[in-house]
Amino acid sequence: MGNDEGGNRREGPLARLIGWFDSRLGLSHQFLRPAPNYSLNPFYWLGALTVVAFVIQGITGIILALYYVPSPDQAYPSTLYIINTVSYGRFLQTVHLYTAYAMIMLAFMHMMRGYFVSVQKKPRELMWVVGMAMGFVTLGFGFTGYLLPWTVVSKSATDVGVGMIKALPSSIASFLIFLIEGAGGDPTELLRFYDLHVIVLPAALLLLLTLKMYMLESHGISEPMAVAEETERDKKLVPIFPDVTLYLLQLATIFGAGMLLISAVFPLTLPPEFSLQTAGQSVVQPEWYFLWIYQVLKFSIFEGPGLTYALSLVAVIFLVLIFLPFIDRGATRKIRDRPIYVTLGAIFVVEVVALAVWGLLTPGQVISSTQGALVLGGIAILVAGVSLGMYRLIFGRVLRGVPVTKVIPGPVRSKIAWTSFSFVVILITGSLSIGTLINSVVNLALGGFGIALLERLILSLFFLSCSSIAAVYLLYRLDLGTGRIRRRIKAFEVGWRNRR
Amino acid sequence: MTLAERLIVLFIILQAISVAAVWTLNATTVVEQGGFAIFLAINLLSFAAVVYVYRVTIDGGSPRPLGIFIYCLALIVLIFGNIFLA
Repeated sequence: MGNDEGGNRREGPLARLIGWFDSRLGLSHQFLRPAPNYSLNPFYWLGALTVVAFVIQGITGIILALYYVPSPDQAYPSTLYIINTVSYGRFLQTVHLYTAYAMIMLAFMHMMRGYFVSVQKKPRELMWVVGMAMGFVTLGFGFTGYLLPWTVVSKSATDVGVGMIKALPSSIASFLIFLIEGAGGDPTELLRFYDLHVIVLPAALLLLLTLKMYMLESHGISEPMAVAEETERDKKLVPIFPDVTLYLLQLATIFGAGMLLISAVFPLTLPPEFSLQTAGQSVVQPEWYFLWIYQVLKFSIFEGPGLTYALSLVAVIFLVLIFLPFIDRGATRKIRDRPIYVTLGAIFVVEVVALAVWGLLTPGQVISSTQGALVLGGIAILVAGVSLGMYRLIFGRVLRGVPVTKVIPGPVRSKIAWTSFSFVVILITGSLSIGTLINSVVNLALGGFGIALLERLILSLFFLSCSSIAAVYLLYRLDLGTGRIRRRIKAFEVGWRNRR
Repeated sequence: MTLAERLIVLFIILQAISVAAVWTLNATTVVEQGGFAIFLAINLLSFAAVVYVYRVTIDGGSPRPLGIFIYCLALIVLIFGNIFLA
């Protein structure tokens, strides 16, 4: 360390590196500070609800572990014993399953909300990376836990998953196979999965959670864009206890009640036990959260040696998500200033949902590459067109440099929220309808007439019409506020008349 | 008693009834395990309503009618859902 020409202290590379980590990890900040008023909003607590789901998983999992035997000949009978004989066994098993689904869904929503409101910007880059690691651990819970009942569906799907790992580069593949399968065949595989599920992954998640909570306490909750422009003095703070604690308690109990209701309405039924005979009769289908990857792997172009390319594609998507804070380095967090990233995020969400639904509708079918390209490309073009069109419509004034008021008043903000929500619903319905429509038309053209295909065609046309009418209505409602579309139509009509 | 206090009493009574109902169930049949889950959900939702009313009133405010209406509607749906499942 020395002095520059102005007499200021100049830091060496090591001090700068320590300073960089300190500013991100917040090693010198106080804990349990009051939270800002705007954080009393369910969208700010998606991560906390994921932790609540994890806690429910832990409690139900510990009770289930008292009866479960992790060996190929005892896994299925012991699971059946839990469901049929143990008091509240089916209830516990069902809650464990649906809370796992909720945990994965909440983690995905938490990540995408963070992406759209750009929480990963300085100084929260490492929080994002740790959060992504937690997301992968959560998926690991799903992957390892799925095998444990040793049903024909779970074992076959896990074999496909392990088979995909074998397509990775040999050094990575051999390490992962050693880690999750060992060398002892089915008994070792089940025992390794059980150990990973009940010891390694919970420990890893707790460690990452501690690290993330530490950084959250240091940096505080990410501000919404409108509040970020206010001064520190203007922000109203509420104490952690009782306000924030009670709010979280309220959300957690509502979430718990929802999980219980779903468990009561859809109690778990166990598929048949895995054996070579039953395995030959079942269609391999992973759980819904891996369906989008599985659907990509079913494209004919990725069959055989092409599997490596498919896995590389998925790996690239995950790597982009992990290192997003170092890719999207722009200073602004406002949605209106990030049209490209917001559009890419919307395309990602719609494609993932469309692939998962498509995978659910076509179990075990190989998808032709042309069909895959048409559907995925069509959806991407549609979403990009609608997203950029909405940008023109909503933020057109801003993009042309016309000043707008800094803080949006409450009622207007509520209208924007409702408009955005309607837009997302229309977008998802429209995209799914277009995907199904193209799929049905291609299938009808290639495979001939079929009642099921015709039904799908009619349903997709119906939903597409509903989405189009809803989109037009939304545009009309938006136009009532600005009059832009009406002015343009009028100008077009005048121009047309003059030309004639 | 203010309206908020009356509501809290109502929700606490509902919690007590749901806890008592849980003890009457046979824990091994599918239907009664479903009933157990619903009664527990009623208990949790009543608790959430109590927390909501308490959280709002300690800051000097009063619970929003829409919020209370949604809680009551959800509880009625759960109670009738339980009868339907049984």
